[in-house]
Amino acid sequence: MDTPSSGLGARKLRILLANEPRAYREAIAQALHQLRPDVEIETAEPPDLDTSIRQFVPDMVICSEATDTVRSNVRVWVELYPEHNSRSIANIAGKYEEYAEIQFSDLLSIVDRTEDLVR
Amino acid sequence: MLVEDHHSFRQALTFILNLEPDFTVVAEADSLAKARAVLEKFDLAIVDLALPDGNGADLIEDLRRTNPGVTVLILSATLDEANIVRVIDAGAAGVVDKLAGANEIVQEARSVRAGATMPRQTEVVEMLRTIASHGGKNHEVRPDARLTARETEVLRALVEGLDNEGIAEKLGITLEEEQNHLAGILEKLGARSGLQALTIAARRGVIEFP
Repeated sequence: MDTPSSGLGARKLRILLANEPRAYREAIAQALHQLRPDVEIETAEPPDLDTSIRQFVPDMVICSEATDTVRSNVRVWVELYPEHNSRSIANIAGKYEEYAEIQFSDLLSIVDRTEDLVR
Repeated sequence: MLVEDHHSFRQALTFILNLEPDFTVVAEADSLAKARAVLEKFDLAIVDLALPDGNGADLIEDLRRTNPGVTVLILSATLDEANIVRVIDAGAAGVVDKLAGANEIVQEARSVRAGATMPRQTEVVEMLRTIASHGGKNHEVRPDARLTARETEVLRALVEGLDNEGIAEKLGITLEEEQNHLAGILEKLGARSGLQALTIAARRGVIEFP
């Protein structure tokens, strides 16, 4: 597997969204794509999360439940509405942040912080 | 107006809808109480079913009082049979599962606003079966509510999942004539949407479904 945290070089920042339900995943992916056109965005079904991480090697993951693969291979990840709760958790290079009700602007901010981290 | 308690999703969907030339989101709310307090006028409400202070179906009548003519599209991750019956009886023009893609939600919003019957045939038939098996609210139907032969044909075409253009083409009539027939059906059956008209007609045996 590549090492996404070793610097982007010429490639774009990569974000993988594998959260559920699909409507959330696609709406957030589309809005991120519009607002951060230089970021490479992929979506995957939750069961395909680990496989997609190995193939896409994302710098950031948004998912409903962070798997061991997410925790050990991705520097920045967000558990968005785990178990359909309104609470969300972000792990930004080992620093945990909890959101009672995460805003879309929070997700954008995490994307920008991820870019700062890995450049 | 968008009523959805998961903020990041609601804000992303608002952003996407605002990119479309035929939509402008004028209000957002994350609860029934906040939705009822919205003063802006709007044509379409996309309402989540599971809100922190109650069921989105309870909002439909209230929205109609403050915004006559509003079209309501229900968005839900818990589309069980009882909820489907409840929202259609309350007058929702459509129901979208959150398992649908974002583009499908936008398309459904456009379809229900245009007055189309949005579900595919299999979904319509499944809904009718569900409603027939659950009974449901009795609707006030005009005593002289006898559908004309053409209106019955329009209803049957709705069961097939055809949109307005498709029905007009199938029956060899203009779109305006098709809409006049649909308006007549809604008035006679006391329905607020093509989908609700189908459910009332199914209960009363006006039409049969496969």
